[in-house]
Amino acid sequence: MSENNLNGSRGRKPGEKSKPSIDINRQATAVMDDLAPSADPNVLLSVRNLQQHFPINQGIIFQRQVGAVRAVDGISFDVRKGETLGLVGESGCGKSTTGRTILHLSRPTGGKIYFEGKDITGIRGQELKRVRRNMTMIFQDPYASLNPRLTVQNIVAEPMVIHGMGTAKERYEKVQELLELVGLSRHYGTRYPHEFSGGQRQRVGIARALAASPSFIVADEPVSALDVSIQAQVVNLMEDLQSRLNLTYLFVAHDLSVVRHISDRVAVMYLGKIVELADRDVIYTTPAHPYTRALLSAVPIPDPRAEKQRKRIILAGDVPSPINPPPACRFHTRCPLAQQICREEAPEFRDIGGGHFSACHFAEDVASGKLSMV
Amino acid sequence: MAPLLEVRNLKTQFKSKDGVVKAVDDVSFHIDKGETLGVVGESGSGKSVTAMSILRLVQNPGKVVGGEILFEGRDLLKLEDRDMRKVRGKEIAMIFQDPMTSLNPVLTVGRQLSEPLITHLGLTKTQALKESVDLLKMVGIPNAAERVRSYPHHFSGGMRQRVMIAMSLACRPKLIIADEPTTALDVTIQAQILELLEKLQAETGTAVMLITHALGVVAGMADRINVMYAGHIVETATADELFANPRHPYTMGLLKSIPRLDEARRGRLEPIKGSPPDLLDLPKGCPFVSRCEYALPQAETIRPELRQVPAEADGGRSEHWIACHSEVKMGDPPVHEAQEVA
Repeated sequence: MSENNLNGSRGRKPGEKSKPSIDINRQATAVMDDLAPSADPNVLLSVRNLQQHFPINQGIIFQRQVGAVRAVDGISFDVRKGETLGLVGESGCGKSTTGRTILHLSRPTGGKIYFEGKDITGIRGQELKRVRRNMTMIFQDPYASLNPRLTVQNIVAEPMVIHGMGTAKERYEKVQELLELVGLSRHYGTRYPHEFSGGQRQRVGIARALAASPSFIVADEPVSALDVSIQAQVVNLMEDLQSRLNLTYLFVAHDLSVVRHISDRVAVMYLGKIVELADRDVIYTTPAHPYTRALLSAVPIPDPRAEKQRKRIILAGDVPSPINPPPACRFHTRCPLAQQICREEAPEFRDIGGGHFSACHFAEDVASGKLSMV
Repeated sequence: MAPLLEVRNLKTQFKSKDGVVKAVDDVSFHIDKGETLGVVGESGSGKSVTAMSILRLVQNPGKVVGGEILFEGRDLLKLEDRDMRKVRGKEIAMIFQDPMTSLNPVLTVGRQLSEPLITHLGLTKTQALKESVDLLKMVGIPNAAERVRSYPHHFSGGMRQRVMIAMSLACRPKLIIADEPTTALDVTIQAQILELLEKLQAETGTAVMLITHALGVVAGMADRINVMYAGHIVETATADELFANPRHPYTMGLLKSIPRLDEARRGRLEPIKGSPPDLLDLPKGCPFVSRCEYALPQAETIRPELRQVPAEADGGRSEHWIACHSEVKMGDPPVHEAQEVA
């Protein structure tokens, strides 16, 4: 997302409440707290200030809400047509919830989601069904996400049945094509999930996701349940399918090496917020948020010599609870660079140049290495 | 110097209605005092079963059917049950993968930490509780004096794993078997735990058998590494040697298939073709043969024995063993296409 589109999208719809103005001192600043979608025609999905708060209730008969788990707490990003946006973060940061909320598997409690330029926030019934034909999901656990009592034929055909696509014969043929497309034998349709290995099951899951010919796929940790030697097979398959079918992926994962491999751009989440978003190579070479730095340095490298030379940034403590996240910058409790301002003022999610967004008061200095963390 | 632990020709099998699963099949290795041995392999390769066999925790329908496990010269497989109980937790301790399920949810952490101290070292309850506080401090848990009275659910995943480590250290064991100690943890927490393990190991001089599927984790931690595949050790060498000069096609395949953060992004990953063999129906020859790009004709019928190859990383001082008929190195062109497609 270049600055231009973002600035271009700043034109508000009439009647929409205007947000307080942003820091005008920073030249290259572009903040995505506007609720309007991106004006760029290449953008397939726009998420604006998305919130997903899960209520915490107390009381047995008279339930009342005593708090909320702020799983996703105001995030904005665009996904361009044909690209892979990687969404990384640790468990509990809200990355999976983001994916699920986009598909309306749970309804957002705030913010806007635009798909192909149309506002799809909170749609229901037939409308939702139409949209879901174009956006599907690949699940993490290939063991739990396939119905054990259905044959592969029925599993893969189900989306087509739901959307009333084709006759039974056409669907049968389409399933055979799909199985071949994902690298399975076309005769596997009569088998049941338990007859397959983990990698093969994930292929079935991918075939199902493709059945209704979607344009957008949320892949929620699609390879993390697989053995190391199988992960690469599935990653390659997803890349092949993307170029053949012109798919757009939101690739949710915690494995930073795999995300770097498959993504065009990467967003890093921490405690319900996106803290950094940039092109793949930018974020991995010049990360502009201390959390991204720490995350990258914590990834073990399969080379003893490289490991011995590396200086790890070890973050103290655990991730705070999303029920009661720290005020101001959410990362300040664990950040080795935290200053007074970080405890008092929430940093803006701002563009520090060339579409590199960071939510850190000292983003420029972190990126340039002026502020060292080791 | 005799090794601390020597496993000879260990065979552990599981009976099922479809046949016998040879989970560990004729595995021999050793661990020296104070050393970290990494054991790498995919699920079903037999790495955890090896660990369970050492502690004699393999349960029905599984059974250790052959071999010797010499711990300081004593064969653990021949010990009476009551003598074995004195070994577990005292001489050899274990850290399990999942800190969520391996602590007892209805007992306080202090109570669970005290248990081995009371049973093995004969401490009184008060002494044991005091020692527990020290142990919690040692693994970096803040407010240890108060936290001993907490229950496991009061702790986060990383903190629970610290408690597990504290528990394993309670009796100053000579060997700690850590079975995927960081797999259930986030990467920043994993870094904390690995650093803690390294620090404590340097302080206490304990030997560690580190079982994991993550090549990155063993690269940073292990002195030597065993690579396991389908119940066999297929390659063993020092960590430096194994990563610099892998000689078994499976090890090479693993290293090639994972994207690395410290290298330029590759255009395409090179996966190992096919999937691990069915342990009920292992091929007669090399278990890796159907996925191997270098397999020689005899690999189909003759199971390769471990044989020594020259180590290169440290001028040939260390030992490097592989179970492979072929003489190939990383980067050699494939001899043929692997037979199996996914």
